[in-house]
Amino acid sequence: MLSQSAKDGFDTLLMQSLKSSLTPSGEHSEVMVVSADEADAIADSQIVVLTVSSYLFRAMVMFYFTPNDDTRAHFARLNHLDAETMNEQTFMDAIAEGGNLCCGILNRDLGNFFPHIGMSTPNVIDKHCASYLQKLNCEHVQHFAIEMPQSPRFFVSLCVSAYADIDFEVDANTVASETGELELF
Amino acid sequence: MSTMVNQILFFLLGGLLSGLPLALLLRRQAVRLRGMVGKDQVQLLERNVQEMLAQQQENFAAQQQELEALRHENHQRLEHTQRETETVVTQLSTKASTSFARVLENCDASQETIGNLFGLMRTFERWHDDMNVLIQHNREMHRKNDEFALIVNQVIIVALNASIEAARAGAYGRGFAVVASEVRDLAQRAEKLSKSYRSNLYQNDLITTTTFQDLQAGGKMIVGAITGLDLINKKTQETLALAA
Repeated sequence: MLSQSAKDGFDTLLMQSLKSSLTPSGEHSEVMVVSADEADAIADSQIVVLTVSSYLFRAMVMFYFTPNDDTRAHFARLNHLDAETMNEQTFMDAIAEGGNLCCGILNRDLGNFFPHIGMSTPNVIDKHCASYLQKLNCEHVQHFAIEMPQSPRFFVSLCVSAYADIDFEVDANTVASETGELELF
Repeated sequence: MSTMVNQILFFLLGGLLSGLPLALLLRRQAVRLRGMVGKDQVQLLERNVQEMLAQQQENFAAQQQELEALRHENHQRLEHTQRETETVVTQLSTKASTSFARVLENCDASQETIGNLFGLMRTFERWHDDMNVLIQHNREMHRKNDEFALIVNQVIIVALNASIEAARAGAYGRGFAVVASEVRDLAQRAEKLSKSYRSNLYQNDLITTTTFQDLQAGGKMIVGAITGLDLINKKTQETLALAA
């Protein structure tokens, strides 16, 4: 029920929002699609999950992370904080907020195509849950990686379920010009 | 004699020469006189003209009366039309006022319904709280299952030790070895069950979290739609208030 153009549209919008939300200011990042095998081998221990929903579809976005020093340093740079001063709660909040910001951008951009849309708050689940993504009966599952020179490689999974025929086209050039920059893969 | 004849001739010639233009003049006058009308004719003509003039005046007066009647009739029609128009305008105005009042009434009713619909947010908040309780409950089950898995592992080790001790006891320990083996089998089944249970708990976490998130996002979608409706209704109320 999802056209190829719609699947590409979801991917493009998420890649753009990942770039906008997870890249610390002044740093360069690259977002790329990765294979399911590569996704199966993700070594992270936890996932921040968020849902963007309409009566026509629901899109679940999963951000894999491991609460270690490298991740802490990344989110400290992203939020202009000192990693030393971040306690456990601040650290987890910063990760959840990163996902929240990313899905907020996705939600806003999808709003150009779907007038009625809503977004959930973030929840943290165990990485083992990702082994059962097929249980969600999603029509479109895509995995991404975001690479930045000073940060660990973050992985993100997108799962979209459709409840009607959905077809829309995202003009990557327009998105790029609106957001300043967007690299396509 | 000839002189006399000449004189006569001259005289005749002179008379002829002077009489000829005169004759022509007379003839011309006669023709002109024939062209001129007589006094009777002039009087007749004058009477005719006067009669005609009188007739024209009569006609003019009649036409003027006719015009006056027409003007009067038109005036009456105009007044009638004006009265009718005023009646229609009054009726329309009354209808418009009624419709206006009804629209305002409907707007107020819509506003009340919209206000009530915002109460749905409490339902969404309840769902959110329920979800947190369920996630907490799942975490507790994870914790208990992990503890159970540790116990099962411990039982396996104990069963293994029991098997070793039974072997050391030789013939006296055979019965005990059978029991230890049974315990180890039970522990291994328990371990398998615990792993399966763990897997189900992870599936449960994923399905529960995504389902409740869908409910939460759907709730926000509904609240967004109601907010849009609220704005439209308030704008309509403002427009009606300005038009009133």
